[in-house]
Amino acid sequence: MICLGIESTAHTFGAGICDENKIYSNIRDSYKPDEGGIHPRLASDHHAAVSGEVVRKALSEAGLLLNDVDLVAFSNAPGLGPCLRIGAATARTIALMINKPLIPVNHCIAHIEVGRRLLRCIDPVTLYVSGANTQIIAYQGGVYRVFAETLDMGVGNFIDSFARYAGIPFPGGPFIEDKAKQGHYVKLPYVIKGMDVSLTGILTNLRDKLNKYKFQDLCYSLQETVFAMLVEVSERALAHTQKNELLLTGGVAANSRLREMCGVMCSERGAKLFVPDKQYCVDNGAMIAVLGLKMHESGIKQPFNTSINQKQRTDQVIIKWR
Amino acid sequence: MEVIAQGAESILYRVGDKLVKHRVKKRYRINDIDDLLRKSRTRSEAKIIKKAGELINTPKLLKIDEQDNKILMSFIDGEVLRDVINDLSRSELIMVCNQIGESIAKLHNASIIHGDLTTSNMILKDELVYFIDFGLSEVSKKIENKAVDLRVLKEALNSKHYLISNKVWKLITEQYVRVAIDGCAVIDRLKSVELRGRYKKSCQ
Repeated sequence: MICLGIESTAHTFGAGICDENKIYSNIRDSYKPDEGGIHPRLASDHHAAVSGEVVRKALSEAGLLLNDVDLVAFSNAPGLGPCLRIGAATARTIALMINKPLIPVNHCIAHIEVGRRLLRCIDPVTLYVSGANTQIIAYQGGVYRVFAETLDMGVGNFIDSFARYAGIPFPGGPFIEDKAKQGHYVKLPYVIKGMDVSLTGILTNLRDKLNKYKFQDLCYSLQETVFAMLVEVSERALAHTQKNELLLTGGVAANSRLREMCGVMCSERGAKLFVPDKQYCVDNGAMIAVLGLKMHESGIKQPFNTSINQKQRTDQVIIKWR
Repeated sequence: MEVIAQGAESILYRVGDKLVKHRVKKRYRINDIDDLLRKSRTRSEAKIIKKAGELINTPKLLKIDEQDNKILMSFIDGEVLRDVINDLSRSELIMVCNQIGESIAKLHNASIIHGDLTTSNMILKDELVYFIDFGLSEVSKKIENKAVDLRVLKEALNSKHYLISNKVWKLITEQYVRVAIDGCAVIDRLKSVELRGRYKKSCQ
């Protein structure tokens, strides 16, 4: 069964195609603001403009025609409303054109399921770190439970915001990672509350330090402090759930220092680290196709529904396929 | 010497009727952060165990080794509540929840925030609930911090004991409000703390 997945929760519009055996294509086009952060309406304008081309490219790379598609999946939650609506409209249009079923899927869970499928990890604790999301998730009692999360902002947005204060355009992550290589440690707050992390206080602290310390030192200390917090709560989730696999995913998983720290933590406690290929860590259509197919196989039949849910929580989704 | 647990941040050894909590080096983080965290957490934990021990059931603090980040305390030879709570009879469950609510209230009345209230950090021995692991504890009078302390427990119950969490939570908070000086204010604040959480049902 050929499944076309459409992703549009934030700044990326993506289309991916897979069947039970293979992922055939994974095309992305991301909105990049000239200045500031992501403006939801401008991002959705971008998505509307590129949607046709992205889907066409995904089909041609897979060597398929629209009529070969058997199932259309789209991310309907969580995310920016205007952006989600473009993905939903695109998916609805295609499903109606080819008269095939449509399946809405949760974006965060798609990140986990594509990792499980590609890397064959069985029952991981997932450290999901992206712009808006920072969650530590483990499967328990029929749902993906959130064991720890940020109490305020996502770690990607945190890094990008700091970069913006320093006059670096979006996305600031790669630039900060590079600068950090020459940095030295400056003390920053280390904020863990129970299992959760909080980042806004550290952001304010960093902003106050901006012109008083070397920029590279702040980049280094930011990474060392915040990643240590994330790895610490991940380790606690592993200890608490008694699982021994860690899946690191989301856009911030591209950071090599974070990967290294997760790797060291896992090897010290006899756990195994899994990190998907970068194109499956960032927002992408293939993961939506993978989850859509999995849900369809499990017998989930949805009425033809293209409503979106900006604030759906990971643990609100009933998991019927595990 | 017998290793009885490897938690996320420390190794616990049993030596006879004593327990050594050794905060081990974490190689994933830089020495500056690692030294600072281990030192400050060991010191603060020892101080708080001592104070808490005068109020509720906890291990007794015997010795602190600041050089090696080790704490020596008495060993509570019981069962981790996480493993047994689902199997308790109704009357046992009420007795246990009352103790938990009362103990949290007594800590809060003394401005001690446990910081990691989960059923993994409670030991049941001879019908008494002992609180352990004050590694993330702090001293604070703030209603906000007390509310966040309770939220950690609520989340832990929901994620680990979802079948009985509502009943357990109700029993614990009823007793908490009876004993805590500003119990009602804390429970009120908890509601607004939860509303602040990301993507909560109640704010949709």
